[in-house]
Formats: sequence, structure tokens, C-alpha cells
Amino acid sequence: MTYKYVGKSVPRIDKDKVLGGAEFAFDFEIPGMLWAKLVGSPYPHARIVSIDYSEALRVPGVVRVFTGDDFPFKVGLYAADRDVLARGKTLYYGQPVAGIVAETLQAAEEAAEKIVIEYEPLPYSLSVEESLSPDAPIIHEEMSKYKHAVFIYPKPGTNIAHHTKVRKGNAEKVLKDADVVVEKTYRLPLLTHYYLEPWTGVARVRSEGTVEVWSSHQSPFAVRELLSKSLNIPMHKLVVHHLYTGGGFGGKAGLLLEHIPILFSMKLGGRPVKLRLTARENFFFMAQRAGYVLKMKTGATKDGRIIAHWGEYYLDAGAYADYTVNMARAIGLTATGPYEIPNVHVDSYAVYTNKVPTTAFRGFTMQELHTAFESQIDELAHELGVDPVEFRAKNLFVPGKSLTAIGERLKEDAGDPLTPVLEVNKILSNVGIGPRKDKPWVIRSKGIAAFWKGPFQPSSAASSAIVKVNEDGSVDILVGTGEMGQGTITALTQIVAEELGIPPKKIRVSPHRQTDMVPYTWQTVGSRGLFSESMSLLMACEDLKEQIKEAASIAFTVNKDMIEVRDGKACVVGEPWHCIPIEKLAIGYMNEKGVTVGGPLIGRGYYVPPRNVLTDPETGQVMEEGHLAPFYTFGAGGVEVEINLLTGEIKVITAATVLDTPEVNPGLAEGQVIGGAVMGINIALREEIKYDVRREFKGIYPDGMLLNPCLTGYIVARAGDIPKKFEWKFLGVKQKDAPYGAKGIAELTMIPWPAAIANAIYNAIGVRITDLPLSPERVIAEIKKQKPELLEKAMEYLRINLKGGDNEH
Amino acid sequence: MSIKRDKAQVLWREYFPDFDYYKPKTVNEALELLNKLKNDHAIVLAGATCLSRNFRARKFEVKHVIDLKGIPELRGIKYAEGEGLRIGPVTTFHEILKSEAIRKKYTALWEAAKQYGDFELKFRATIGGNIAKSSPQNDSSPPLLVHKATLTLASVEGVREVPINEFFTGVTENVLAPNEIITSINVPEPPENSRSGYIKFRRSAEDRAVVGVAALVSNPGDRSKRIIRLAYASIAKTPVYVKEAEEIFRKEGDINSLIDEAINAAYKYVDLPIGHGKRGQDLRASKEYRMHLVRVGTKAILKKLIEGVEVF
Amino acid sequence: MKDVEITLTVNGEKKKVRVSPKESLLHVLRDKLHYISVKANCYRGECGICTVLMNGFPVKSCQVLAVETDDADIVTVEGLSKNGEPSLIQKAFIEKFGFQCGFCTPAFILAGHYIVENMPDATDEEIKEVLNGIVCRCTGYKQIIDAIKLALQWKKEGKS
Ligand SMILES: Cc1cc2nc3c(=O)[nH]c(=O)nc-3n(C[C@H](O)[C@H](O)[C@H](O)COP(=O)(O)OP(=O)(O)OC[C@H]3O[C@@H](n4cnc5c(N)ncnc54)[C@H](O)[C@@H]3O)c2cc1C
Ligand code: FES
Ligand code: FES
Repeated sequence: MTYKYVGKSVPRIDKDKVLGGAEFAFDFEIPGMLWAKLVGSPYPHARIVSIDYSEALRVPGVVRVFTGDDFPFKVGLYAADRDVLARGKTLYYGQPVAGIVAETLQAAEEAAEKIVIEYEPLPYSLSVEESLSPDAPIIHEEMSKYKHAVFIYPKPGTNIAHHTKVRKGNAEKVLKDADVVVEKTYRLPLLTHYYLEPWTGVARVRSEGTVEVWSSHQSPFAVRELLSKSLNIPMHKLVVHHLYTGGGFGGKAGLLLEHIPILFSMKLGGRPVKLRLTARENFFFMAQRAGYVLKMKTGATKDGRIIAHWGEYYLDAGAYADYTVNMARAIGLTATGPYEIPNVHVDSYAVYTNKVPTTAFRGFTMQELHTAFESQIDELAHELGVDPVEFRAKNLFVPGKSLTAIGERLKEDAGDPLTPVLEVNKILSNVGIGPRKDKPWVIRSKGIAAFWKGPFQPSSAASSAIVKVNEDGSVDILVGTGEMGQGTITALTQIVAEELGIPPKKIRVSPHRQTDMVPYTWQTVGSRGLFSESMSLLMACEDLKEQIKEAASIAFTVNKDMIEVRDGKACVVGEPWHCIPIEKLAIGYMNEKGVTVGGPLIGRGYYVPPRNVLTDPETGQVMEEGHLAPFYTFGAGGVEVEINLLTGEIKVITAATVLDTPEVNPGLAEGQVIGGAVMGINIALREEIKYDVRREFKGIYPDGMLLNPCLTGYIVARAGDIPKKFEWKFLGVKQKDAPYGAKGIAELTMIPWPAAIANAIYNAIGVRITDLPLSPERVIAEIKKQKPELLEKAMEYLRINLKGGDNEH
Repeated sequence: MSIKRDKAQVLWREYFPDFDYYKPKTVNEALELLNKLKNDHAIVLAGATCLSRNFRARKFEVKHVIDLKGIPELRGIKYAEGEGLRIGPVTTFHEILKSEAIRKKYTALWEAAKQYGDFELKFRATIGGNIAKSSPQNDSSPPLLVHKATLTLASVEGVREVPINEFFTGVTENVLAPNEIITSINVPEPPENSRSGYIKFRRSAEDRAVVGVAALVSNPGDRSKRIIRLAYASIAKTPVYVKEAEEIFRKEGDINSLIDEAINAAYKYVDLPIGHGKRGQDLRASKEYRMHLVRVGTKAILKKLIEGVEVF
Repeated sequence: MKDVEITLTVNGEKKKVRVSPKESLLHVLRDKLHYISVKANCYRGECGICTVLMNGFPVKSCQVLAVETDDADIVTVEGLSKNGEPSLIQKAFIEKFGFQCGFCTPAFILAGHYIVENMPDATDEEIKEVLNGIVCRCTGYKQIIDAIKLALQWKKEGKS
């Protein structure tokens, strides 16, 4: 079946971003607004002895200076572990210890220089290993008093913020009998999202007591819920405004720093307060992505079946664990990637360290898991001497049959795990492996990785939507999801256009949200935005159509089921001359005699994931038959790379992505595919938040400092770094209870790259690299360790042949 | 443990510090001003690409800023066959890239300008600012070193000419007196039959050098006339000219052994003063990898200049 | 230093503004003149998000002192549409999906505008070179490059 609007490259509706005038929290101001500035701790772990801000108060324009003692409570998401401003002790270098509020930002900046703090430095930990060692400093001494979500299991008295267990079959025993076992440890560094809009929030308290905040976030309702809980403000007295958000990638999910301007405003008679970070401050004050240590052991039989997987996964959560506790849960529960493995034994932990706090990141642990797991898969295949594609084919989930690591049976129409792998392999089939003819020190290669992911959300993650018909027949859509660039609002207009048969240009979704004016949705995360909002909207459109039919049936005096809605009209079935445009019904139908029936047309719909269930704390198995997520998207990625043996530089020439789902808007989908690939490839090759874990730079940089909080130190991809060629394909495999069969893709596009590249390196030169990033320096070091002869051979090509006296060319 | 008293960390700022701003029209006017204010936190400004960020970082106190961009004498490129090249310090990298003379005769400098920073910075950043900043990562310095450039430094007390090799004294340190500025960059006519080039290893399309290698080669096959010079960025606390290389390449023997010998000479300079007891290391690269790049880079640039083979 | 009055032209209009040495051109444009299409991220010259055209060239406005911009000629995205009609480069960005979150978009549009006006035969590599100084974390750049190429083609075809 073909559609008129769904599946078409309908242009984005947020054109004001191109024309000028798009408004972000970054830009938002209120007359009379004050500016806040935060200052950070110069120690990674220290007792605060005193804070002297008398000098700061003397700077003209300064209104107040706040310290931790002004806010004697903790805030947090799954665990209330976080001080508003450090109280008693600081837990990481850069942690906010005081906030200055002034009439201008200039005054606040000037005053910030003048705060003097006395500290007593404490021993600190910069790695999971240090935090788990017996003599580790305990970072959260009061952990037992923290409030926790029911599915989070901390271990007071240690640095363990959460522990998830998955037990299926008997992995330890079976591994002993396996014909081949691959055992490796994979290390992934902390990352930053580097969204381009630094976090910003403006807050005020209205005179009648309503608290309002405008901030840069992904999910307005999550911000409201967490603020309400943390600050004890009833939800109807708390209005969260969402403007355009300049990128999030998980880093703006949940509660960010909204509580800070709100609390400042509350203490200043409700005056509006703005806190806007610079990129460098954003590194220290916002949460980043955790680091990972993934220990894995996977075993297979001679005939190519994976029979057991054992894992210990550690997430370096930093000083505050925010989403990271739930991420430790996510990576544990999806431990085996898209493969059916009968025996699984996994423990995953979130571990506190004296580093920046950590939180969600695009993919919610699935890039990290697949980076390790898809390397294991390739290694097993090599050990067994079978083709990695065939090996995958043999072990991938079979929807309708397979049981996942947590005992969830995948639905018949869950998707297609296998075809993407075959398709990617086909796209790369012409790529040969071996040295380039013109530059033999450059080796061409290819590698692939499969993946899957669904939104990792609570079983109650609901959403809702409203569709209103205006008096002229145009339509307004009200939803609660945030627009941070994915193009959801454009795709939603396509769906409503299709349902009602009116052109998208007659439909509007405001990019702005105000929690008291739009219907509820849980969060804009997990690639669920388009899926959940569309499901709600489909129901809302059904509801609306019923109302239209009702009104039209009165107008035409026929039975309601004799009416159909198409092309923006209500018509009597089989009598196309008997039609009435929906604008005539928009606020009720008035007949020739002036009698009005019906009323304004407002369709309402909602979506709650069906049969989402919890897992058992001891075994990680589903508590009853059901699902962890309302959909899973399956896919594969492949790369053609060039490995420069002289410098260790890896260049990705081609990046190929295949996803099983249909696409709602090819222009938008292309944006997600390319954007995800470029980010994922860059994470594979370049990205890393650096700490002096080995204390090599002691005395050179401040103790425990995040060492590269800027773009000269943290390398993001530039235009000149992207692959020459992108290939992508959507297979169009539909899920029954999905909007037009389509599933989420936004995070998926980022997953396969590190594993695919690491596999490509191995395929060409037999060097296996387990740690990221695959930087030139690391590649050279590993070649020197594993295949030193390759390097010396490459150097030979640089020998100069001088013919006596001749230097002409 | 003991108690420490510290200023709280201001992690970044939007605003510059307060200062007086001057925009003189002549060199003399600038020198007079600088001389008058030299003991009162005065600094000269060119493209501000580096200073704007040092101001925000509050790297040093600043009360007077003397902008050199209003002085026409300090801008422009002049080349005369046989006499060589003169570049005004306030010439931007963009202007350097437009010069045919530099592209043909001083290719290393042109290639450095090409790989310097990014497109937008090139419209603002000046070669004088690059030299005066005296960072180990300076892209313009290795090319100027292999071309044996000199700098004209001027103050109210007079003018002196300093070989660029003697200009740098430490990380962001040089021989400029507090009342002195660079007024000209002078590069002699290159040796006959010579070619020069610059290779910059970087981590992305916009990055400072992890290691930069410049070379100049003339008559490589004829030992009596052979000149080979090597200079490096980002291997030590200053840009490095490996003077031993000149001698080494005059020796007899297989050119490849001589190159290895020159590389060993260059290794001795690898000494970035960052990292305790492990000098040569910084956040961009370990000492081992840096030495590896010195080796690869040296061989690659010579391969290119002698045999015409583009390695990268 | 006391504030000084400078005169600069923004999008063809002459503006007199009082500025202090503490401010950059970025502050003048955003805070004093309210051209909010000019965004910022790093205030260090690294991200390129604050790009404007100054005297015809793309520069990072956070690196330009306000006091040195007397007589400067500035163009921001607000100045590209003529009589409500978007410029070629703007239309091309819409056509090619050259933006997502939109925060970097004004900077890329101005860089693209510079290419369209000054580099009619720009190759892919040359386009990338111009863009290397500006960061986009959403799009992966391809659709931005496609948009610039489309605008170049339109310009060749005489479209306006
Ligand atoms: C994002 C970014 C990327 C960069 N990338 C590179 C790179 O790839 N390679 C590289 O080499 N550098 C790089 N730099 C550093 C910097 O841009 C260059 O050093 C630039 O050439 C400085 O020139 P400027 O005119 O902007 O100097 P300014 O910032 O104006 O001044 C720099 C210093 O030089 C002094 N000075 C300027 N002119 C004179 C003069 N005539 N006489 C005496 N002193 C003078 C100033 O007082 C100041 O101390 C980068 C900087 C940034 C912000
Ligand atoms: S804000 Fe100016 S370059 Fe980043
Ligand atoms: S569109 Fe979001 S940073 Fe470019």
C-alpha cells in the first residue's frame, strides 16, 4: 500500500531555524532577569572547611551568593544522590560549590573571581578499579539514607551505586564444555555529548506561587516530575517550558540543572534568574557518559552455536549516577546482543568515582554493549574458522521463537535481525582486503556488526496527544515530546496528514511545549518519541474521525457508518457528491435553519506500551510473560576502511547502514542515519574524556581534573573527517502495532561502528584492539605489540632511492 | 591532611577583562605607546585568535591593549627574485595562501598556512601573532626555520634582526623585550634547486599539530651541493631546528642511513615539558608515539621532496 | 575603560552602539542589537557557532573585540532574506534537510552563503575545508554539504 504523505520526504516544518528567529532557551530572556554564575571545586574529593564570599558581595550589581548550606537536601533521578551545591564535601573537580546571582552576567563573572574556599583534600578515586579496591575512599558515605527507585540496588558502605544480575541456565558450567571460548576485557572511556546548545535555564516564581522554568531539555514532563519530587512543588504549580533544544543525545534527558535557577529565584522573591553555561562549564556542571569496563567470556561449539555468555560489566558512574544506574541495568538485561544464548551469567555494576557525574547517552548502553559483544562474535567466528556472517546467521534471534537473555519471547513480528546483516555484507561485497596498489602502506579492509535496541523505559511510560480542527479546516497537534532536531514534529504532521487526508502545510505542531498546555508524555528518549507520539496520534485521529462522522451523519441524515473521512472531507460512502469539508464541522455543524449540532472537534489519544513487565532482581528474568520494550529495531552496519600502517590512522571510506524498519520520512531518516554514523564513527576513532588515572601528570595539572574540557582536547568530527560514501537501506519490515509499521531509529544508527571498525582492523592485519578510541596512537601501539613486523615492513616503503646526482621530477 | 585555601574555580567566562584599547596608525606611534605602558600590563594585539581566549582565561593581567591592525606598514608580502621574501607580521594566513611566490618558493610555509587552524581563523590569525605566541605547536615556525628566516624586532630603542632559530626560549617565551614588537619576517632566497614542504599530523580536520615536520632539500643526489634541513613543531618546548642534520647530510654514505642518523638527532630534542619524569608527553600524544611520528614524518617529507611520492 | 561609541553596518543598516572593551562582537550583535540568530557555544574560537560575515569574510564573532569593529560591515542570517524571500542557500538547506536541532545552522548558512557568493566552482573538498571550523553534532555534515552544492548549482542555473 502506498501513502500520500507517509514515507515521503516532506520538508521539515521548523524552517525558522534556517530563516532566523528560532528561539532556544539559550536566547530566552525576561525583563528584570538576573544572571547566575557557578564556581567549581578545585579538588576531586575534599572537605569544605569554609567559604568566604564577602569580597564577591562587594562587586556592584551582585545580589546574592549561595552555597550548599542554603539547600540542605539532595536531588536526583533514580537515586537522590546529588547536592544542589556541594555540602560538607566536594566529590569531583569542578563540582559547583557556590552560585553568584547578579544584575548582569558581567557582574556575576567578576564576583566569581573573588570567592575563596578552604578545603581539606581527601584521597580520591579516578577509576572503577580504584573505587572497588578494599582501601578505596567511600564517596557517598550516606548512601543508605538516599531515596532510590524500586529497581535500583545500591550497596551502602561501598562505591557500588547499583548491581543488576542476569542468570539464565548455567553459563559457568557450560563454558567449561565449550569448544571455543573467547575471553576479553573491553575498556571504553567517558564521553561527552557535545550538543551545541550549552545547558541553559531561566526560572521565576509568579506572585501567585506558580514556578516557571524555560530550559534546554529533552523531556518537559520528566523535568516537571523530577522537580516536583525533588523540590516538593505540586505539579499544577510548576510549569516547564520547552523551546527548541539545541541537541541532547541523552545528555538532556531527565532533570538537569533546572532546580538551580528555580531555587535561586525562590530565595530572591521570585525574580527571574538565568543560568547559561559555556561549553567548558558544560563539561563540569552537566553529566557526561560513563566509562565502561566490560569483561566478557563467550563460548561456542564446533558446529557454530553460541552456548554461553559470562560477563562482568562495570560502568564508571562518576560522582553522581543519574541515569547511569539504570544504564547498568539496561546493559545487563540486554547482555547478549541480538543473539539467542541459552546460558547467561551477567553482573553489571554502576560504580561511583571522583569524576564528573554521568548520565544517558544516545543508545543507552547499546553502542557500548555491541562494541564489545560484536567483537566477541567476530573473534569466535575466527576461532572456529567460519565466516562471521554465517556465524551470525546461525545465532541471531528468530522472532516468534527466540528467548532473550531475560527470558522474553520475541513477538512474531518483532522484526528482522538477519537480513540487515546479509544486506550490509552485500553492499560491501566489492571491497577487497589488502594493501592499496598506489600506497602499499595503506591497507584496505572491511568489517561489520549487527545490533538491536528497543526503548528501555518503565512499563508505565505513557504518552498522549490531541488533534484539534480549526474553523478554517487547518489542524493543530498537541503533543508533549521535545523537538531537539530529530524532526519528530515534521513526521507527526505527515501522519496526521495521511490520516485526515489534508496536506501537511495545513497542519501545525508548535515546537514549544508548556506542561500545563500540552498532553502528557513520559520522555523523549530511547528512540521512542516518534513511535509513542504517533501511536497516540493515530488514536486521536480515530477519535476525531468518529466525531466528524457523528456530525456528518447528522448533516446528511445517514447512519454514522455510512460516512468516510478522506481528503479533508466527510463523505457518504459511495456518494462522492455528498461531501462536507471538515471546516464546516470544526466547531459544530450548523444546518440551513441555523440549528447547530456537535461542537468543536478535538480528538484525544494515548499510548501505553502493552504488556511491558519488570524483571526479577535475583535472576533478571521477566516476572511474567511480557516484554521489556514495545518495539525492537534490528540492523547492521558495515565499514570499508583504510588503515595507515605508518601513522596508525584509520579512515572510514564507506559507512553502510541497514535497518529492518520502514521510514516515515526519507529526508529525516537520512539525517538520522548520517548523523548517527558520523557520531558513532568519531566515538570509535577519536572521542575520550581524559583523566590522569595513572597519575602521570601529577603536579602538572590539578589533581583529579577533567583534562580536556574543550574542543582542542576533546575531538569531535569535522566536515573534513566524514566518510567519503554513505550507503543505507530501510527494509520496510513492518511491526503490526506500530505507526505505519515503523519503529524508532534515532539511536540505532550510532551503534555498530566501533565494533565494525575493530573487526575491519582485525580482518586486514590480524590485530585485535579492545579499547576505544581506536586512535592512531593506540593502533600503532597495538601493531607494535601484536604484529611488529608489519610496521617495519611499512617503513621500508619510505626508503629513498637516489640515482646519483638526479633530483629532477 | 592539610587545609588549603583556594580561589574557587571559574571554569570559563564570556567577558574579557577591562582594559584600555588603542589603535595606532604607525609603527612609531605603537612603539611609543608600548614603551610608555610596558610596565603597566600592556600587550599588543593582532588577529586576537589567541589573545581573545587568553583574556577570557585570565591567563595574565591586562590593562592596555595596542591593536596593530591599523598599521599599514606591518601588513603585506613582498618578494623580489634574488633578494627574498618580506612578510609584515600582521599578514593573515589567508593572505599568505594567496601568494604565488610563497606557494612556489617557500612551499613549506604555504603548506603550513594551508593546514593552519581552519578557514575562518585564517582571515584573522596573523603570522606575527603565530610567531610571537611562541607555542611549540606553531605551524609557521618549522617552515621559517628550514628557510632560515630572520625577524626584525623594533622598539623605541632601535631595531635588531634575530634569526628565528634564536627567537624562541621556552613555551610561549621568546626574546622579545616588553617594549618590543616584530615588525618584519625576512626569508632569504631559497638555495638553488631547492624544494620545501610541511607535514602536519593532527587528530582531526581541525587540530593543532601532534607533530609537524618541515624540510628543505636541495641537490640531494650530489653530496658536494646537497642541503637538507629539518625542523619540527610540537616535539619540545619550542619549535625545533635540528641543526645537526645539516652536517649529517653532508657526510658520505647511503642517504637512508643519513636520514636515520638525522632522525636520531631529532629524537634528542623530543622534550615537551609536560608530564612528570616523562617529558615528551602531553595530552595529544605519548613520547613513544611522538618519536614514532618524528621518524615517519621525516622519512615521508623527504620521500616527497626527493622522489615526489605523496605518502599521506 | 569607559564605553565607546562605534558605528557598524549590520545587514545593510548603520548602527551606533556603545560598547565596552569587555565585550566581543558576539555580545554586541546578540545582547545589544538582538540578532539572536548568532549563537555561541565555546567562547574560545573552537566551535564556529558564532560565525558572522565581517567585511565579507566568515569570522568567529566571539574572537573579535567589540572595540575593534568600528566601521565594520556585518552580515547575519537575519540579513539574507530579501523582501521576505529566503536566499538561495536558505532554500537549499530546507530542500536538502541541511539542519536538525538548528543551533549550528546560522553559522553554516553564512559559511554556505560565502561559498555561493565567492567560490562558484567549489569542489566537495573545498566546501569541507570552509566548513571545518564549524561544529555540527547532529547532521554528520553530509546534508549541509549537499545543500551548499545545490545552492551552487541553482546559482549557476540563474535561479534566485
Ligand atoms: C581554535 C584555534 C585553533 C588554532 N589552531 C592553530 C593551528 O592549527 N596552528 C597554529 O600554529 N596555531 C593555532 N592556533 C593559535 C593561534 O591562532 C595562532 O597562533 C595565531 O597565529 C595567532 O595570531 P593572532 O594574530 O590571532 O595573534 P593574537 O592573538 O592577536 O596575539 C598572539 C600573541 O602574539 C603577540 N603579538 C601579535 N603580533 C605581534 C607582533 N607583531 N609583535 C609582537 N608580538 C605580537 C600578542 O601580544 C600575543 O601575545 C589556534 C587558535 C585557536 C583559537
Ligand atoms: S562561540 Fe565562538 S567559536 Fe565557539
Ligand atoms: S543541527 Fe544540531 S548541531 Fe548542527
